[in-house]
Amino acid sequence: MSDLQSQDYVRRSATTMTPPMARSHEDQVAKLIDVSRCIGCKACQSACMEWNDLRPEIGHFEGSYENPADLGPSVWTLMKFAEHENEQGNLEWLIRKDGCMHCEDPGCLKACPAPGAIVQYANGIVDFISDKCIGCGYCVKGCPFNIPRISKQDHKSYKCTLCSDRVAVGLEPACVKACPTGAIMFGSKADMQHQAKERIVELKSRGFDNAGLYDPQEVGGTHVMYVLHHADRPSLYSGLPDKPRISATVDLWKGFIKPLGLAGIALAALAGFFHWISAGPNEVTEEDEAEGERVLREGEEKVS
Amino acid sequence: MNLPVDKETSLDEYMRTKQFKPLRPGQTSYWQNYRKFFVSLQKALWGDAASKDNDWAYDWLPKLDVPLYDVIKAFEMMDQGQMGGYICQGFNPLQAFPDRGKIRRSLSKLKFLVTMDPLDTETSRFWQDFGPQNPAKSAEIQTEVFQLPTTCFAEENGSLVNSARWLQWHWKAADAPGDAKSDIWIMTGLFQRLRELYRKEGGAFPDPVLGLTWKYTDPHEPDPEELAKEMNGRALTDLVDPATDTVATKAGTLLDAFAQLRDDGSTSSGCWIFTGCFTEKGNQMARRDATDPREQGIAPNWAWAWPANRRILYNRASADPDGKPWNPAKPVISWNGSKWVGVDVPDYGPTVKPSDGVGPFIMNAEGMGRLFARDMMGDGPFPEHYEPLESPVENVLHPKVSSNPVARVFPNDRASFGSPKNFPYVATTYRLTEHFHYWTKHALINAVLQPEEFVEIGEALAKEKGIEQGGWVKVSSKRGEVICKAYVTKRIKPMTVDGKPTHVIGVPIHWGFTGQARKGYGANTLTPSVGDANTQTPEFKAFLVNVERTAAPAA
Repeated sequence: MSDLQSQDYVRRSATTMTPPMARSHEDQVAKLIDVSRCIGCKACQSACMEWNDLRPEIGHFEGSYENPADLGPSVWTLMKFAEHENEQGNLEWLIRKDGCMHCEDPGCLKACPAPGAIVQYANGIVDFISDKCIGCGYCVKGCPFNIPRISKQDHKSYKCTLCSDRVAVGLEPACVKACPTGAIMFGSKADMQHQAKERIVELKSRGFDNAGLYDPQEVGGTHVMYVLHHADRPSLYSGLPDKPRISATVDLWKGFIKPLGLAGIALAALAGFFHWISAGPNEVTEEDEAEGERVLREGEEKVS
Repeated sequence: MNLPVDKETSLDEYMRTKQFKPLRPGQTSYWQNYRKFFVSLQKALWGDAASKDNDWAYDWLPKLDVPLYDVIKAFEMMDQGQMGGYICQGFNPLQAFPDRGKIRRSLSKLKFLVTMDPLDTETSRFWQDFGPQNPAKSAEIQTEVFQLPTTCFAEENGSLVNSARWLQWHWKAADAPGDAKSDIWIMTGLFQRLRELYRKEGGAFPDPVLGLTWKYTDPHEPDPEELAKEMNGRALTDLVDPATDTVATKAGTLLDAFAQLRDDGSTSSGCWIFTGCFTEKGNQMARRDATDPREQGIAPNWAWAWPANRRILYNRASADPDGKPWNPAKPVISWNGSKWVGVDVPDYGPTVKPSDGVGPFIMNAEGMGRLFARDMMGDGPFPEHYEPLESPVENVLHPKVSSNPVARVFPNDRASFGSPKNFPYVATTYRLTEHFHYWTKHALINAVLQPEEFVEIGEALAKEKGIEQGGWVKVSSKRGEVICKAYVTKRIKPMTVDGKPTHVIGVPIHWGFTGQARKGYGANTLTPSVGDANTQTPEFKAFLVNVERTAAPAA
């Protein structure tokens, strides 16, 4: 995405200060994916390609209903299919739309060393600002959900934008509009949580005792949430993390090494300052000057 | 309405089996109006040339010498050398029809084939060698092929009829690419040239072609609205209401309802059930009011439903004998003391009192619904279980007549049925959500979403046969073979049939050798050519195959 909403940033990569928000209050948004209503038709994938002008290569059948085989720089959302046999021996085809979860505490943004390449808007959407991306791949390491992919063509990182361009003008994301069963919904985060709550009651009444909302607090909650029939075991859904965590390296970098480095710089400055206060500024004496002249002359004589 | 058969040598003879009279007193038996619909159709076709004196040009209609000339029959005739030319409009039989080998062989025997399609169909290229997916020997095929590209629905005005009977008008959104022309332009060109030949050279029977009404603003490409109005029908003379003895409908007026049609030649209608779709009030099919007054999926002002904008057929049956809705929460129509009212158009006399005892099934001569169909079912009247023509077991109810004795099977097709000894597994075919038939493989995005042919095999059979997830397999029937990758799935379990475990193989249908997706053999390489005893739909859905693990084909 390009940088269209810079006044709405609440977080900006590799920047300690974010511009103050001059514009009016914005609701936090969320996409709610009700996995129990999904039929796996891939209309969302199709709409995503259409809206974002993404055209991955025509692949092969690779022993799965998943196509393309993986997320990619031009595959921002992907239906994942898992055949699960439950305790009663009945088959459940667990189909999950995978893509960026738009974490409230985004690991990618934390890890990113390029100022302003990853931003979070006031509405919660985490967006990659491509012209500032340096293609280092730290966001890939930083993501607890294994989502961003680096393009081999332009060496920039790509992922779902939650259709930030559509949302900015009051439209729902393209996948939401295309979904034929209403399995993908969009609105304020509070409304989506409410919607999920009602659906979970319904699922419980139909025997899914462990139905629940996936809004993992380990990353501060997410702006893409799932209603799962088996919320006690998210990993059943093609490896959705049971407890998503931002990699320790990123935490080490952001939480320890980077502050330590900054502290180091600050300490050096501070030491200099106190040295100046206590010992006064460095001054050049007459003797120093004469000694310098002498060294210089000797050098010149050796050369000639 | 039906085309006449050659035994029906006169209009009266034809009408004898059509104009059902009420079997019980007071019943509607709506088909007693058949003659009105029929005469109005003849007037739409031949105008003034269809008159009372020539039985409304009855003799100009083609007469069938067999009950049905459908596509199964057509390909059998091609294969037997009895049909030399074929115009294939918006249809891709090489992909869509059973026993692909037979289809290719039959097309190869034609003198000429005309295809009309917005897409580069497999049928248009049946003669071309695409490798094992279409192993045609071009040098030996003498068929002359005319491939005519047509506009698609978004490139022309017109209407589409859906399975809820709605006629929905659509508007042209873009110009057609390249040389593509509308079906109307192509058909009209064909007609004009044929008529010119009849005019010049005479021929055995030129009258029906020379006499055809052709009063369009542009005689070379009639406007879809003009054609829709012709389907709807008009008053040809002033129509007098006998009750008031005044002119109710002026000559030339578009009709509002098929109840206005007459059998005296004073009305015309190209299709009686469409009367009301395009009236003096305008194009009813173009209406787009989605209001659903009772929130039960009935939007009476969205497009137009045949017949009479009626959304639910036989809706009188939604109310009890006294005219009160069976389900008061979802009333469709009800009797208000003087007439039938509700969200839908009553499928019943609008002022017929419930106490009159007129049955709700007004098209049936007895007014009643039927649990058993007297003479309408090829294999009726009672339901019976038959095994498919190819089955792993004999019919346990009556092994001597295992499969349907009145299913339509031609001798050559019967010879290509396999036995469970050589083909021990049951196969079925189906569609995937990512594709629509054989169209969307031509679209890049859909091709990305399901790029390549595969079959689905249960884990038990895969284990038995050493087939790996995503590994290559050869699936064969008596009629042909498909080599593709296998999806080993938990979703298909062996069934117990007659006490024996029976494996089922799923064959999604979408891939062929034209378009953007990867080349495939097509599921119908495997399927048998059988016409269902009643619908004549081919028996695609159950047949016998064998499956073997195989090596990946050379790239």
